[in-house]
Amino acid sequence: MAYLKIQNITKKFGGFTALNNVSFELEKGEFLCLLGPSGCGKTTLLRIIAGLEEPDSGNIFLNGKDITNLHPSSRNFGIVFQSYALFPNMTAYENLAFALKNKKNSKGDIKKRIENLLNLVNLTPVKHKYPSQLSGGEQQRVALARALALNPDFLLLDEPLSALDAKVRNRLRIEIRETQEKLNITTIMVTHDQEEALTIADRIVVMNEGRIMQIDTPQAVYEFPANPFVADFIGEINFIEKNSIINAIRPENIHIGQNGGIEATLRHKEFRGAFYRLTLSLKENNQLIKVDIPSSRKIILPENGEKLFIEFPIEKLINYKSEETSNIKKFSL
Amino acid sequence: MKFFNFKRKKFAKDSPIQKTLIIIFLLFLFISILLPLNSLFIKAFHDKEGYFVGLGNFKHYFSNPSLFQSLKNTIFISTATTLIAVFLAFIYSYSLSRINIRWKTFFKYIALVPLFAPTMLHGISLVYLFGNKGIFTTLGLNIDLYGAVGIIISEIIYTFPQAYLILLVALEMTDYRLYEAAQTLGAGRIKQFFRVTLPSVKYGLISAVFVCFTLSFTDFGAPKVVGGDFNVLATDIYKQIVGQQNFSMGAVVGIILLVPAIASFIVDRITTKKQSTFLSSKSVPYQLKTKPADSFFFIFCIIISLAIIIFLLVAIFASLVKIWPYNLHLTFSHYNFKTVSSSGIKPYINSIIISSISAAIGTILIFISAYLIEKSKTFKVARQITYLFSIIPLALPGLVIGISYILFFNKTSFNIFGINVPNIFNFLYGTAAIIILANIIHFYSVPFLTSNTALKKIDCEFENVSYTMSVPVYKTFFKVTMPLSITAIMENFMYLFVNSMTTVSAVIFLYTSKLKLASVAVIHMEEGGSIASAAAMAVLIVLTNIIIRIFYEIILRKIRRKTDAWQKR
Amino acid sequence: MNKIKSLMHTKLITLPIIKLIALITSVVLIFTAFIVSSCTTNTTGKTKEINVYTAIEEEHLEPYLSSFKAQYPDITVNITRDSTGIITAKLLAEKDNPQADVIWGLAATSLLVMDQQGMLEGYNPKGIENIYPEFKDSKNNPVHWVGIDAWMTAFTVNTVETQAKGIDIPKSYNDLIKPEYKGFVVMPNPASSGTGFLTVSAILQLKGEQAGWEYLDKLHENIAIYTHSGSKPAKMAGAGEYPIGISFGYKGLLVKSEGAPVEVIFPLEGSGWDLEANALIKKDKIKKEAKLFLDWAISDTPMKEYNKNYAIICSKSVKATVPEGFPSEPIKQLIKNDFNWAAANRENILKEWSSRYDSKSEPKS
Repeated sequence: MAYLKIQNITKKFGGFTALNNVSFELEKGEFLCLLGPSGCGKTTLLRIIAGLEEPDSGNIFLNGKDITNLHPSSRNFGIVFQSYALFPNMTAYENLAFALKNKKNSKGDIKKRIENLLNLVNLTPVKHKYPSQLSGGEQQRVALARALALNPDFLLLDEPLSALDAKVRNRLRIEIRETQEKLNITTIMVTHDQEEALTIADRIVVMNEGRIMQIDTPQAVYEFPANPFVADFIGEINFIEKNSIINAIRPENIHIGQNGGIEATLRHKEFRGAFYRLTLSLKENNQLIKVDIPSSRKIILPENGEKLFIEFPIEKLINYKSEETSNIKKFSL
Repeated sequence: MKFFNFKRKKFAKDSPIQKTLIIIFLLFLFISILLPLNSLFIKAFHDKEGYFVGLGNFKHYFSNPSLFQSLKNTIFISTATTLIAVFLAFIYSYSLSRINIRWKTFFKYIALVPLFAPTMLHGISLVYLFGNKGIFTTLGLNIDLYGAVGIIISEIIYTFPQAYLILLVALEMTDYRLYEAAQTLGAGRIKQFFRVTLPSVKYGLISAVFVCFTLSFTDFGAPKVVGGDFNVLATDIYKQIVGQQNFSMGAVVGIILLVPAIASFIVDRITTKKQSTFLSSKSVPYQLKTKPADSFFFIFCIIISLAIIIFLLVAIFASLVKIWPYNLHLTFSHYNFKTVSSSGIKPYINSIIISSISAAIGTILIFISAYLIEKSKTFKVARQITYLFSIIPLALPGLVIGISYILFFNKTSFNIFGINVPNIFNFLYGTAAIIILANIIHFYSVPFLTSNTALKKIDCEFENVSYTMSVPVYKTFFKVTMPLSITAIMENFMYLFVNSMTTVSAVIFLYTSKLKLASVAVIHMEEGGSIASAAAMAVLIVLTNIIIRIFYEIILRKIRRKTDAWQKR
Repeated sequence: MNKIKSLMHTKLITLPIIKLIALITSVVLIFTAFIVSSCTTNTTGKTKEINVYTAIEEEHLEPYLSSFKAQYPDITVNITRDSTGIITAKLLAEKDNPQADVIWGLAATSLLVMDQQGMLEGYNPKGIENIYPEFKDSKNNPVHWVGIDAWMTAFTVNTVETQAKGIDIPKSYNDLIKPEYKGFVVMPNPASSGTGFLTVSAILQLKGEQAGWEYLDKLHENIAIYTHSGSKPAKMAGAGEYPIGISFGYKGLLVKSEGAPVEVIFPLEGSGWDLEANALIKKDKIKKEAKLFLDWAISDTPMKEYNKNYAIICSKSVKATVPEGFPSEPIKQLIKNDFNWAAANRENILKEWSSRYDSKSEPKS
């Protein structure tokens, strides 16, 4: 039986449908990411799971029990908000204690529990500092520790890393996942960053315009995007239309042939560190195609305007029906 | 537990207490603002005997040359005051924000002193300086004080700090990059002033102009003391209501007083919105550089500060001289109010009690209502209406509140569609509560907006965090929201206290013989010709306000030391 | 199953119910405190409380009232004091719902106006026989009003200023309209001040209506300011702000006794005057304390107090002494004053006066 089950959730704001019949399940200890562009309904869904918003219809089950109508305080979860929502007038320690003091715990128990939590997120040295005196990463960890303070059944993370710079974000990503694994706590994280979702999650729920586009493991979502939206949203992709069949292929899967294959002209090339990104136009119909060439391959690249030949390996082609791509914006220079 | 069982609590909706409180506040403001105003408007369209006369009263007003003259007089006074006060305040705040001059802290504080005084004090000082036996008059400088000149000077002193505060904020909120750009384009100092400085404080200037105009248009204290026979609307309303008990005509004048106040209110709403969008987060504060003409600005600030200090000192002097100008021995005998009034020192004590209660209750009510409006989730329409009600008092002159309150609370019953409904609020009439209520409503909006701004800066997820941690919302309110807003709360208390001490306009109609207030006593003693005693009472009001303000600064400094650790600034 | 969980959650929520109740109580307390604070002033007096409206000088109330308080310690007297015009207007405005129980020391002219509107209740206070017949209501028995003392017009003239300006001290009403006094005279506005009204009424009675208004037109030329109260002109003359103040005898003499360089002049033609008088308000429930107050108000002890400030008192049983500065035979200084005429014409006189002199001022730019 699924540990947390989201069933047919629909939510409308006036005439706007934020969530349209959304369903999925989580196993105990699973880390799931809600991924999608802004306005896709992922944060609304998280707030409905938390009980901060009311769904128009649908149910949420925790361990088989319907918690749809419960007040947030009785759902027993922890949450980290995008802003962290740390109490600025309390030190890291006091922020953790605020929740614990309210439950009838003994002083010794509270102290021990806080020390444990601070240890867990490596904050013991700064426990008596106020949030404004902490770095962004430290604040984020206080928020995480506070969310875990009451031994929640599950954890909700709302874009927890979006306010941090790239280096810190990468490090904290690992820390969050390690902590989650250590506690084996069921976790739902909302993010709009596909790289973050791919690296941290057990499974990803890709959402668009209030609907679920695909639910799968990161690898499957990347390699076998269920529809053009997912293909386009996650990673780079080329769409090539032929006889009302759309073929999609990732730039790194296109080979440059010495001669033979499809003829194209190099329009632009840029160095991206690990690879070169080439932009070609097909001779046949002038469609623009992105191709990635690993820089380690050390081949001699043609100059802009020169002719070259490319190959689409058949096993890497993903086929869609043409109408599915109508709402996908075509790549252009 | 049964209490909460009748309805299951779902989701993160507000608790029943929160909902009830929102409705209570809505009703509270409806009853204490809209119903009295309604009475005022009804009265204006009925004659003395209570018959409906349509616009008859207005026709009578505009056809009566002496009444119409008051309107013209008032417009003249307000225009002159506004032009001069805004001009002076602009140079003053420009000196403090844009010029590298010495003694800035001194100048900043001294400009606030007139805020602590009832406007009668400025009038009294003027009499001693420029009256027929005034210090300057006997030295040969006769400015023909009684009438327009005296009123305008008093109003300038009264409105100067208000304009200065608005303009200082506007001038401090500027983007230095604009000046750098102007310099690279070769613009000189004067060109920079007209092309960069003036446009950037445009909204501040408009706001200052309207505030000064409204304040001088509706002020009552100064015209009473130095107006002589120069009638203005505020003294007219007093004569109509107090002297002739002609409430219909009083209501008409009240509605005329509302016109500039409402215009100013609308302009203020528009400009604050525009002003806030003017600055981007990348703006660079103005960099001060020493320039050759700086000494001009320094001397200007010295002159203004001296004028303010002189007005205060002359009032103190006036309260101490035995018989001006014939016996210049100093004496405290004028502080023995028993000789001129049977109530003696009691009005002063009443004022302190009433102001403290008004400030305490007002601060709590206003903060809770601002919290409910800003942080609740349900009853969106009710909250929006409550918000609107909360800023209406910005447009209500004290005299209008005073008359509306008499008209509304003195009624024993109302006739609604032919049905006689008893007025359950009638019992408030003639009590301390109605004065406290009038003070709170009169000065409601500024503390409300201060609280609102403070609460807006607080993360809206705090309530959600407490839901998820099963911490009751009231606990978060007391442990987090209140401590974070403590400076705003203290500022509001101070604001309500000082204004309740100095105001005369609303309470002049509402005080009772048992509950006379210090500011009303100043008016009465001045009316009776006991100008030295009136000065003494006015001095007591100023000194009390200054002392309380000093205490406030000390406490604030202590709190700041504590909160600096967690407040980013 | 759902329901059970929901109920459990309600229990969770209600755990801090004591604190919630504490919050509610504190909010309720604030509101009740608010309301109670308003009620206390409203309900302090059980039945032994009377509302007294008066125009007696502020500084006299305390010494006058001390003997009443000593005699009736259990009666609370709420005093509403203002200038004559204002108290009159207030009483008239409250005609349908009278707040006052007793009027004490208000101009007889004003009381007659109220009597014409049927607002006064007849009552013969104890000792009524001691009051001179011309100083009490002669038309009704029991009387509708009783005088306690009389006050009269006098000029307060600052001698330092008259000397400096090289002008003579005016001795009569006719002196006052001399052009040399232009801008030097202050007088009270008759609409708000009893002294102002009795002065205007005296002039109209002395000279006849037409000549009276002509005189007032000329006087208006010399007036610098019309003041709100009757005492302010004396005070202003005392301070030299304006050299001549038309006021009443007592106030001028007070200013003089305080040390200001003034002379108090009782005009040659005679002084306008009025009585400070008492009356009982007609209302549904007339308190017996109100009658006790009226009895006391014409008894000997307060009469002696009145006499300290006013040369003429209305009771025969106290031998009146003339305070220093008053004419030695004060009654002779009084003009012949027809109260009924003054009362009947009060409204018209004030209307005429306002239309002639109220709109005097123009903006001086």
